[in-house]
Amino acid sequence: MDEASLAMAVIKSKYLASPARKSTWARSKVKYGFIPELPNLYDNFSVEYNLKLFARLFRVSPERIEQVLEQFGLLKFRSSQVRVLSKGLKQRLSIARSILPDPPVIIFDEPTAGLDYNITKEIHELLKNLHESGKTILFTSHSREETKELATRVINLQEGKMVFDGLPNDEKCIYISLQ
Amino acid sequence: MTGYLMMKNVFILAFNDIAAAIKNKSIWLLIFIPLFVVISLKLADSPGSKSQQLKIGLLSDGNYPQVIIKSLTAAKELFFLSRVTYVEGSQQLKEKKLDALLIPDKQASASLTLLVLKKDSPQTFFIVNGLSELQKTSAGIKNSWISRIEPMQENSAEIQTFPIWILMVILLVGCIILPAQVAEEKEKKLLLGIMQTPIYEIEWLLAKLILGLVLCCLAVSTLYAASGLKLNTENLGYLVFIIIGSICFSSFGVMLGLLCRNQAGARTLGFIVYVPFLIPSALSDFSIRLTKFSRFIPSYWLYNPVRAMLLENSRLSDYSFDLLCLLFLGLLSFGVSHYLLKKRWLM
Repeated sequence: MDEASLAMAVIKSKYLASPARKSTWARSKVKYGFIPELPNLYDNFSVEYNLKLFARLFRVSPERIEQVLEQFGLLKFRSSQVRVLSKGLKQRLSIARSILPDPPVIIFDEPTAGLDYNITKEIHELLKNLHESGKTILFTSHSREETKELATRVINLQEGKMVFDGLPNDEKCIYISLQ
Repeated sequence: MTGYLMMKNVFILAFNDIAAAIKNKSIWLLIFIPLFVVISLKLADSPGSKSQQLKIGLLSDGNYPQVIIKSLTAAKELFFLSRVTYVEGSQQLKEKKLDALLIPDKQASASLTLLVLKKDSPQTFFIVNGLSELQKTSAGIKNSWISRIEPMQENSAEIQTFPIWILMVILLVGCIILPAQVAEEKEKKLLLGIMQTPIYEIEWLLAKLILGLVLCCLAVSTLYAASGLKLNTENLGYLVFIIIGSICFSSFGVMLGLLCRNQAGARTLGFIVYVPFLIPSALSDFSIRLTKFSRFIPSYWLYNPVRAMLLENSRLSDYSFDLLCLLFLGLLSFGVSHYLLKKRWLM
């Protein structure tokens, strides 16, 4: 099973948010990261606390926290409380937290929904960087432009059924997404 | 190694929960309190009912002056007499089946010792008053019938009400604080985030129980510290009940939280459970009917043993059934919570 198929299998599972069936996954390695539409962070705590908590649970080293803080440009916000951060920074922190265990597959649920143009561009850059670093990215989107810009493969779903699986520039894909 | 990792996860989550509990501010909804207070007060004995007849126990082997027995028997509208042994009488006093036990005084032939639960209770006042009136109407008796009033509970008001406050804080944690915190984690999708990490559902649940236990212990310790009361080191059975009760009601609270989609729902559900759990048990001392009713309420399985051990020096072994009932409640809640968490109920 390749990584994309594995990620699809995870999406189809009703245990989406769990590295479910932990008995089979064992606790050894987290196979995917999931970033929900709205960042699910501990608002009353600092950026560093949020990362530290999850680093402990993911069992990754404290050095990894420094790495992701630097990678996502969060070093100067490390002591800031999450509730005072902008939407873009919160989204960055959410992604940073999910990639702490360095999962091969990252799933995004509408990563730019409700974000303004500049933050959307920033998130697009982050997604591209992650993809270039070898990660398989799966994201849901209602935006044709976003799909065209980011995706290398598109799956159209209608009423829970797959109606298209192909390239983003395929005419059929565009036709269906306009329905 | 697995056990060590599990404990480590549990403590990481528990510390996080405690930190979140410190940071969060909860607003208490009080809308249901007056409603349930009124219901509980209605359950208490109302004036004019048969229960206004004072129930007096006479020792079956006691040698009572005939004039006293005749007077008491004649006043059947006022007193209901029953013959009991001393042990039965003491037990019935504790269970509020008797209001007083009349014990013949060995030194003074025409005098009696009145054994009551509380010296300053209304029942004691009415019995002494009634006996005094009867004595006045009986000829030939010059000495007072009651030479001594002996209470079974001789404690300060603080210690008398202590079990109620203990129950109140444990229920506050179990029915209000924990459900709201669990629901907040669901509402803000924090629980989903936690569940993406390689932890088991059971570890998250255990962390919540530790949080509940820590909060309850903190509250009880504060109660002791604020009141200046010292721990009764001779009988520590009630501490066992406080710890087990804290864990079981925390488990119950987690279940309530998991049944709700958001904090507002959890608070409402918490109060709907909190007030009926608290009021009937706390007021059970004032009414036989309320005592009978309270036996079916889980909070009474905690309140009654703690009260009996603190105020009447009862032993832990006397309340093993209550302990089992509490444990059953805790395990059942834990099982349901685990199931709801596995099924990602309302997440």
